[in-house]
Amino acid sequence: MDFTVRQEVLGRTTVIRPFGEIDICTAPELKAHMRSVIEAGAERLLVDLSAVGFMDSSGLGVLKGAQKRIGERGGALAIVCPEGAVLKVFRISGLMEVFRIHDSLDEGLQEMER
Amino acid sequence: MSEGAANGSDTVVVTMPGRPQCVGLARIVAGEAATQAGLDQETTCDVRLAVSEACTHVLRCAGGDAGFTIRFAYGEGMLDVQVDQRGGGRSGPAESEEEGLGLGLALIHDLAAEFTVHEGERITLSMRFERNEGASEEGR
Repeated sequence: MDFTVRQEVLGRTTVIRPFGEIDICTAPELKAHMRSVIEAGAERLLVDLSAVGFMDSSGLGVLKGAQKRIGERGGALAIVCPEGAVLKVFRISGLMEVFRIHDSLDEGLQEMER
Repeated sequence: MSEGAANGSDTVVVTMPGRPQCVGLARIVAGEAATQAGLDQETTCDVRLAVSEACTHVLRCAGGDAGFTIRFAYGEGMLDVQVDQRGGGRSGPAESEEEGLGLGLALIHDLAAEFTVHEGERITLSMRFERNEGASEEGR
């Protein structure tokens, strides 16, 4: 079960793309990656979960922490998450309104680049 | 691994060391047990998530040497899962905001048909899942 995190800059937005499953084992790697991107000065962060097959509350914690951290610096974080098992985790945890969640990368980028 | 059929159900017990890497393995076994129980696809996903949260809870709350034992008892259309802390002690809940937001048990409560947690000297989480009879056949 390989877990990797890739990133690219599209316009003014830094896109973070985790691949694999996010749990207690892999969440620290995602957390460290996002922390380094924020500390490097990224102000618009789009986390694309399209290639994540599974995520539990460990992943929610990382995303919430990153949202708080980038918010303290005046930045913004949004999420791309198509319909499926991962989106259900946001839904049943009551966090759908806490995060800005988009169906597609294009939709997320459009909002971030406004 | 299997303890054989009794009263129309099979029981499978797996014991794992308390390493984060084992939580993914626990999910794989949980998914297979749910399939064997004839649960629909959505409920199978729920089982994987709940088992992941239960094992994570044990790892975070128990002492460093603790592992866990997972008991799957399944019959037609139902699956009982029990996650027991094995060894170690208790270091108390260690979930900070960035380590799950303390949502793990609340998620299990929402996912399972029945859920109980006993946090004495050792942690035991018990949950029951039932096939969603309204699920499509394609989802099975």
